[in-house]
Amino acid sequence: MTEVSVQVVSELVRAAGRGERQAEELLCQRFAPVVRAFARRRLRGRDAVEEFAQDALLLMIEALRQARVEQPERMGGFVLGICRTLAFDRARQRERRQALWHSYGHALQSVMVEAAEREPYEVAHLEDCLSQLSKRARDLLRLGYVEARAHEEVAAALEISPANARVMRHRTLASLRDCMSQRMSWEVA
Amino acid sequence: MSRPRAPFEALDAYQSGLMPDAEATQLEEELFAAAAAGADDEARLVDLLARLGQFLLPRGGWDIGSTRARVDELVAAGLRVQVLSALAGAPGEPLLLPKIDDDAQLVVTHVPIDVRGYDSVDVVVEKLDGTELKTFRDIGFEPSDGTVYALCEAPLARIAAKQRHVRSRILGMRGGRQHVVAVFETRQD
Repeated sequence: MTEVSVQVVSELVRAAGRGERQAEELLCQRFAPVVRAFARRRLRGRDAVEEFAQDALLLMIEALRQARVEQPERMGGFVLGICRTLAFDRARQRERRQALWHSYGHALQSVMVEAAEREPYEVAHLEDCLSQLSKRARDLLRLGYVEARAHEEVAAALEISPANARVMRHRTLASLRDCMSQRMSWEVA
Repeated sequence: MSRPRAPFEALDAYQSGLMPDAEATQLEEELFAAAAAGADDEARLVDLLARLGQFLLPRGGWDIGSTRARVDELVAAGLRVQVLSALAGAPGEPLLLPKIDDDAQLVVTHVPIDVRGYDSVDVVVEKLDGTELKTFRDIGFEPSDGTVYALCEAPLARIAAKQRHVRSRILGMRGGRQHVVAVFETRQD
């Protein structure tokens, strides 16, 4: 999987406050997955999830540049606060988004779907691992995580109960994690 | 994320909305703290799957074994698709696969063997000494003639091509029994 910087978050926050763009990027990479998880709980459809994630991260960058993070060591709570505030006020956000995107949009390049083109090894690794799963397991992941279909919809498409779909999803994700944590067989053999 | 639930179970219950709000609130605190520490492995994997999976979807990356029509669609979409057709070598010699073009984005290896008539088909690729490299599970095929258009991203094809001389075994399952459909060797130029 993508390497996450082991740098302490408070150092990254301070560096970002000093205007270091790489620190901003690392913070985006660090928080993007959980921000999307937060959004997936509340929103349906990948576009809605992605829009929420971008908004939250844009606000995080804005706060960093304006040195509004008072306790850098509690950055996780700070970002969570951003997410919760956003979730309570979606209507006002839409208008603000356009202005934010215009001002800070370039800073999100590394965490967007389009960035996949610049991650050929990660894409190859995922594709290699997917091909080792059964068709049913692949369909389950595609419907649930790529097409962002509702839980019951995925189960119905696979003609299994929602409970079975859940168990299968946990097992499939665990298998995928095992595969992704190793080098590709083509490389090590 | 130190919760009593299994690693992916908590995240899944959270994202799907099945987790009660009180528990979700607590999990959010843990998730964001874990992200700050670079320890949100489950959220990171799910995010990678969703993000790179979206990238792969319109490029045929979820088709493990494709069709001629699908290959034509990808070409029509403007992707640089290289179709490799194995050339027969001397009697007893492996089939020869042409070199992968430097500018190819997708590589399709056409396997002209009819795999119709089975409940499922796997392809096991191994080194000549029998060491298994990889099993492609539940592959798809061209319905009109049963041949296989094995499609993948070019970076993955280039990595796999490092194993220059391999043996492939096509295995079909029918009525609960496994049948050897074909065994052949290929050598990459």
